[in-house]
Amino acid sequence: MIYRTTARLCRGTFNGVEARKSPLNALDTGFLARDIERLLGCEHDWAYAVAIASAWRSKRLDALGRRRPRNGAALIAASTPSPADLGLLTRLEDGDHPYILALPYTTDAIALLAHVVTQTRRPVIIEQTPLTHTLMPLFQCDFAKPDMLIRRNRARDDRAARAIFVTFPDHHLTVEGTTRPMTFLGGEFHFSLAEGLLYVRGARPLVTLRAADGGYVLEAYEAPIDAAAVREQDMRALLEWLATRIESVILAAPSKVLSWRLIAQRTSAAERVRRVLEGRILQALVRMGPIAEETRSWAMVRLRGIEDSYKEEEAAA
Amino acid sequence: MNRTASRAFRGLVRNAPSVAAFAARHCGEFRYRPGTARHEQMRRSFHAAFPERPEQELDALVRATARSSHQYMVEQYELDYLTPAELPGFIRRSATVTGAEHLEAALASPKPVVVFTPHYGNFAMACLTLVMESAPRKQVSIFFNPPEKNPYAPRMRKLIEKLDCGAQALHNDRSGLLKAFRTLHKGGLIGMMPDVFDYEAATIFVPFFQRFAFAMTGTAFLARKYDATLLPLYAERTGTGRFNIRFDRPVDIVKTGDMDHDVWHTTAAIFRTIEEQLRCEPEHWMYWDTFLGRVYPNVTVPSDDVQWEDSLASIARRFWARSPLAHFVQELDGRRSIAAAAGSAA
Repeated sequence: MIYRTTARLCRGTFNGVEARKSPLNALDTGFLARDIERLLGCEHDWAYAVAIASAWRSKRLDALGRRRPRNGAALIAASTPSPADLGLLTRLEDGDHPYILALPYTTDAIALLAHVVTQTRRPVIIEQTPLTHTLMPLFQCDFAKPDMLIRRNRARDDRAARAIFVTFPDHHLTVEGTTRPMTFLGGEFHFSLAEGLLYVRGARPLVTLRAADGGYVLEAYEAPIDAAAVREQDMRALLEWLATRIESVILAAPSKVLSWRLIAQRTSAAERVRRVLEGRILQALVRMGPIAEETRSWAMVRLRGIEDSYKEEEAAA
Repeated sequence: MNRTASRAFRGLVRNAPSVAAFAARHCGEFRYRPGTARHEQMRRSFHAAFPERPEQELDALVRATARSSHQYMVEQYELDYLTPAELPGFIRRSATVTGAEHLEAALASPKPVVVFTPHYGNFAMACLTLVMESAPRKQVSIFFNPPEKNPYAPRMRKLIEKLDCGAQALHNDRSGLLKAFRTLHKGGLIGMMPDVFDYEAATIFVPFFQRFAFAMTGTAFLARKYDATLLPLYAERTGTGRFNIRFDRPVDIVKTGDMDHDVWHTTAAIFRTIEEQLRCEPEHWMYWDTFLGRVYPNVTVPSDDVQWEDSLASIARRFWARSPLAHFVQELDGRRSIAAAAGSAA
């Protein structure tokens, strides 16, 4: 009975979703649909349908995680075929250095991850993001924040020496300074440099999914980068390669994307709003602070100047 | 099954509203029972807002809030089912107005009026009472978020149209704002609900329950720009189907030469009056479950110099080291330390 329910949740997450009503309330569904509409530039009704399907998949994945199956990865792998041929990863299996598997946060990518986890002999270290807590009960792997991934790659401890670093470039916890704006889904999106930093420090190749012929293929990025003299253009080339592939997977099956809200938050427009709001909270503090009136006036003028520069940047964009 | 249950419930609301309200209150208590995620979320909100209150009291508040919000659902259905002929009589029967002298003075004055109410108690009844009392004497417009942001807005628009007294429901967009300007320019009255916000560049932060709440500046901006009377309005539930619609004395609008300064301080004053009301009877506010999403995370409003330093440091830690805001904080620290040194030398 328990197994049957868990298997049903698996099918509901990774296979088709037929639902007219969203599991979220009307307001949250509306916001989600609005984000999708903005990102994809599509009709509102279609965005709404995508939002409902995506919300159901997220809900079922959460429910699956809450059931804490003994071996979630095996269960998912048993109920869902691998969305891409794993031949490339099999060839990398015997290598003596770590490599990166960068995936968008979609149900297909999670299914692929389940197959990788069940078949590989290598330790798998998954990037911790605001959404991966759902995966924690399902995958008995290490979870680490991006800075920790980079540190472990540099230290090359026993587990990291031959690890597979799994990252989710479509949403991440990285701060502004360690991201680069890239063209993505027709707009600007802040991509984390985590994959690039792992790559230059020996975690190679960088493998990701690409949508092709109604399915997916795994592709590897193996361009040489001199670790001693990393150039900005090398990083940009890597991120551009990654962004186009992640974008193709998202556009191929938008209803399977589970990270729409976070994708919308990492767009440049959203980043600009965040920066303005950071300035506003400082304004509020300055207004209330125990500081001399002269300093307060200077601070308010300075903060308005910074805000104006953000607005000019936005207008230019 | 769901459709049948929904039809049965609507029938109950039409024919026996007090029984429906009773059922809704208990349904609310059940849905927010201890141990559920909903209960935990709301309890966290209450804990953040009232850290001094004991745990049992917070649990009781969660229960009372759940009852109140579910009862509101029935009251709203009841209003929806009334015909245009029935609606004015129903409002007169169920609502008692207190503080009418404040509204009377505002309506008698040629100055425009901005009335604000949080989503508190039966705020729909508050809006409808306001429309009925004011529409014969001033042009009245009530602001709502557009339907794509707020699915409730069309229901409220229908209710205002049912009253058929010339009041209009405006959407919080460009055309709505232009109509509001026109109304205020002619000395009219507009109603607004300042306790909603959008994550956008026009948002500011003002103190609210010892946190910094996201706040929209529209209410304060319109009141300041047109030098309007700024009236608080609350709809308190006094029993099943009975409401006390209370107008408080006008909030003072800050007027200096600096518009940004005035708007911030007036918005802060609006939130201060809302907080005072919520501290007295918190269970009637509809947004407790999302309270923590309405305030800037992990930064408290400083009550002394030491706390102010802590708050500044905690915000500064989030900035990228090379961002202009990080440079600003460094400059600010530099100026303050110079001023402090000069002060101690003197």
